[in-house]
Amino acid sequence: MMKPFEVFSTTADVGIRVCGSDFRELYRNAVLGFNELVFGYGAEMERLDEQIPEFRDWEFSGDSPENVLVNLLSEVSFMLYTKGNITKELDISQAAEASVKVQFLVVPLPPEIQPELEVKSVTYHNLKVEEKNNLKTAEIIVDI
Amino acid sequence: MQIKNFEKISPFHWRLGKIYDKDMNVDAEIFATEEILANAIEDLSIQQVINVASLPGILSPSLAMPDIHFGYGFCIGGVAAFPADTGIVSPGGVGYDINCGVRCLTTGLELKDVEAHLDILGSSILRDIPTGMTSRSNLKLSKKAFMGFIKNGAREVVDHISGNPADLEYIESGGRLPFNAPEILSDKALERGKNQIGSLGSGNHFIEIQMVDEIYDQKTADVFGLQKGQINVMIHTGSRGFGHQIASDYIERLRKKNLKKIKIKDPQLIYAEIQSKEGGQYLEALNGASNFAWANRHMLMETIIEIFEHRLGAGREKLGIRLLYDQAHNIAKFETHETGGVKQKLLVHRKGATRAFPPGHPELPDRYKTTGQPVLIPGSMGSASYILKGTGEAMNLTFGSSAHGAGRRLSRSKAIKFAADINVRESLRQRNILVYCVSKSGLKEEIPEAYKDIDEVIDVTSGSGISQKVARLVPLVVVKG
Repeated sequence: MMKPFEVFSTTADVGIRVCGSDFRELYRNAVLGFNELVFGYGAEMERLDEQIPEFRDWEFSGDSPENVLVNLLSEVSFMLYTKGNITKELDISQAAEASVKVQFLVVPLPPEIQPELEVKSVTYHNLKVEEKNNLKTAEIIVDI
Repeated sequence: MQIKNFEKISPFHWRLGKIYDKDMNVDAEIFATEEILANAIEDLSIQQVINVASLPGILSPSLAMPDIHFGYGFCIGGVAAFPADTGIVSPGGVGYDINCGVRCLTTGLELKDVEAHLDILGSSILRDIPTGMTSRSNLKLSKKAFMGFIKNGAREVVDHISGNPADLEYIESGGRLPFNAPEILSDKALERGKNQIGSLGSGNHFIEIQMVDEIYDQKTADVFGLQKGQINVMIHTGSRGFGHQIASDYIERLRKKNLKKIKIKDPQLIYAEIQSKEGGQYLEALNGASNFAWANRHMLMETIIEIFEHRLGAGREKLGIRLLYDQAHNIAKFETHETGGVKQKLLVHRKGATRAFPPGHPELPDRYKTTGQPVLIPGSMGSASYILKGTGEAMNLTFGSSAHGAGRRLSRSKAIKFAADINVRESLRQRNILVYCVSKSGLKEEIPEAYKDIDEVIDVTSGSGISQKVARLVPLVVVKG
C-alpha cells in the first residue's frame, strides 16, 4: 500500500513520492512530504504546537496538476527559506486539476528546528500526476 | 541504447547520428571514455543530449562534456548553440543556479608562509563568510543598493566596497553583462537575493586554500602566474536564491506562454525564441543573475583577502594576491563562432560546462592572448583541482567549451549512509586537509567517495584536445557551505 508521502533519492536528485484519493489530498500530502524532506522524519515538530500560527491565503490557477504542485511547493519553500516560516498545516478549500485555494497555517521557525537541506527550486523533472489503484500519484524532484 | 549505436570519432569522442531518433534535428557528440559513456547511457543523461538535439534550430551538434551526468532539462555538461537571430533560449540549458562558477586567486605565498596559519585562516573564513542553507549577507542593502550589484556586477563591489579595478579584466565578460530592466524581476527574486550577496550557500559550493603540486605546461603556467608549491584560493558559488528564483519565474512564464504551442520531450526544456519578448526578458534577467554571481564571488574574494592580510600582517600587493580568472559554468551567452565556414552570432548554452576560448580570442585579456583562456576545473572535497587552457580544438568541436568538475557518483542519501561511521573531518585531517563546515550531514553528503574521479574527467578533457592541462592544485583547507 502506498504511503501518503515518502522521501526518495537517486544519484543526482531527491524528491517526494506522494499520493491522494483526490487532488485535495494529493496537494496536502505534497506539502507534508516537503516538510519531511526538509526536516527529516521525527523532527521535533510538536514543538510547533506551542506557537500561535498565522494564517495565509494563497491561490493558484495554472495548466495542470503538475503546474499546481510545483507552484504550491515553491510557495512553501519561499515562506520557509526566505521568510523563516514553516507551514505547519494547510486548509485546502478548493482543489481541482489545475487550481488550488489554500489557507496556510505558518509559524516562525524555532531555533531548535532547522532544515536539514536547502531546497533551491522545485522542478518539473519527470513530474507526471498519474492514476494508480484509484489514487492520484506523483514524484516531485527538487533542486538542492 | 548501447555503445554500439555510437561512432567512435577519436579515442574520447563519440557521435550518435541523428538517424538514431526521428525527432533529433542534429547529431549528438559526447566526449568520454567508454566507461563514462556507458554510465551516461545508464543514468539517462544521453537521453537528455538527444532531447536537446531535438530542439528547434539547434546547430550541430548537441554536445556533452566529459563530466556528463543527469541534470534537469539539459544534462550536466551539456552544451548547445542556436543562431542569435532565429534560435531559441531555454532556462533548462542554463540551470537553476545561474552563473554558478569558479574563481581562482593566486598568491606569492608558499606552504612555509601559511602552514602555521591554516587553521586560523580556515576558521576565520567560516566565521566571516556566511555559509550554509540559510546564510545571509553581512550587508544590509536597500533595494536601490541591491540593484547596483545586479546592474554592475563585480564592478559595484570594487567601486563601493573594496577591490582592485585591475582584477575585473580577469573575470569572464569583465564581471558584468548588460542589464537595464529591473521591472522584469519578481518581488520574490529581489527578496531572496537582497540578503544573500557575499554568502557561500550550501551543497557543493566551497572555498579552498590550495597548493600547486604539479605543473604540466611551464610556459603557460608562467603566464598564468602559477608555480609549484604556490598557495592559491579557489571559490565555487553562484547566484544563490536570486538566480534560482529567476530560473523558476521564467520556467513558469515561458510555460504559460509556450507549453501548449510547442513540442518538447521534457517540460524542463521549455523555451522561447530569442527574439521574442519573453526570450529577451529571460536573457536580460539571466544577465542580472549573472551579475549577482560575479558580485557575490568578488565579495567573497575581498573578504578572504582581508582575512589573509590580517592574519599574515601584510597587504595584498606584498602577499602577491591577484585574480587569475573567474568563469561561469551555468550560463547562456552571445558569442561569435564559425559554423560551416561562416562566422555567426550564436547563443551558446553551457550547463555545467566551462568556456574554453583559444589563444588570440578577442574576448581574452591581453595577458592570456598568447596562451588561451584559463579553464578552472575543481575536483570534489579532498581531491585535486586542475587549471587548463582553452584551445582551437574547443572552438572547432565544442563551441569553445570544456568540462566543469567531477560529477556525483553516489546519491546524497547513499553518501550519508556510506559515511555513517566515518569521521569525515578526521579522515581528511589525516591527509593534511583541514575542513570547516557548519553542517555535519552536509559534510557527509560531500565525501570524496560521492564523486567521480576528477583525474578521469581531466584525462578525457585533455586527451580530446578541448583544453590542455597546465597545473594541478591540491586542497589544504576546505570551507563548505
